[in-house]
Amino acid sequence: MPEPREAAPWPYTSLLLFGFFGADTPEGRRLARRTTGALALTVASLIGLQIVSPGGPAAAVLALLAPVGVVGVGVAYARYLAALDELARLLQLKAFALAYGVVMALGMAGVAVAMAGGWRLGARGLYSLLVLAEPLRGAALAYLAKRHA
Amino acid sequence: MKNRIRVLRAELGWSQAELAERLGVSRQTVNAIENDRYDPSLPLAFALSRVFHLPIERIFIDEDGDAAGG
Repeated sequence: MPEPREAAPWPYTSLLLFGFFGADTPEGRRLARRTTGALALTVASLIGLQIVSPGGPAAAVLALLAPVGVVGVGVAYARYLAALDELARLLQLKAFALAYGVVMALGMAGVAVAMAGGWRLGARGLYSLLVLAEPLRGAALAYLAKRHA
Repeated sequence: MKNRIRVLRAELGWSQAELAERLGVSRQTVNAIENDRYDPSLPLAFALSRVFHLPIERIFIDEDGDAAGG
């Protein structure tokens, strides 16, 4: 007679909304803390760029800080991935590949259409695409986890 | 790839959480392997072999042929 199956549900809410396996582990808490700090830096620098006059030294410093924050998020995720077990790491990497692949394809399509139509693409449009990548990644992560439940 | 992990675990009276702790993976990973939703890496397969004191071919079943070790 087969042994009864135990349920081991994934943290779907956290996967879908925040794109990680939750803050109930030390590595999860570290990721949350580091990404919050890095994103705050990026958002603050982008807001600052709207306020300061363009072309000045303040604008140059703020322009450098925005990508530094994004690099910080990348480093935080690299450390998080290293701390995960093999299945969780695989799911995260697949979700990243899927979401950012779709976003890159959309971006390339947008650029191609804009070039064909003679339109100019604004920086806000490109930023919007990057922002779209994260909910897409969360959805991909929840879907992939469901397939491994 | 099919495996006998659920049966072996039950024989030892271990929960998924206990096996997961011994293997250093999450309970979801143990569950996915037991349900044939995920084939573990070679290092994890060897870790299973160590915790069950069985050769890998007695834990995993090669569906393309006989059980790997017969």
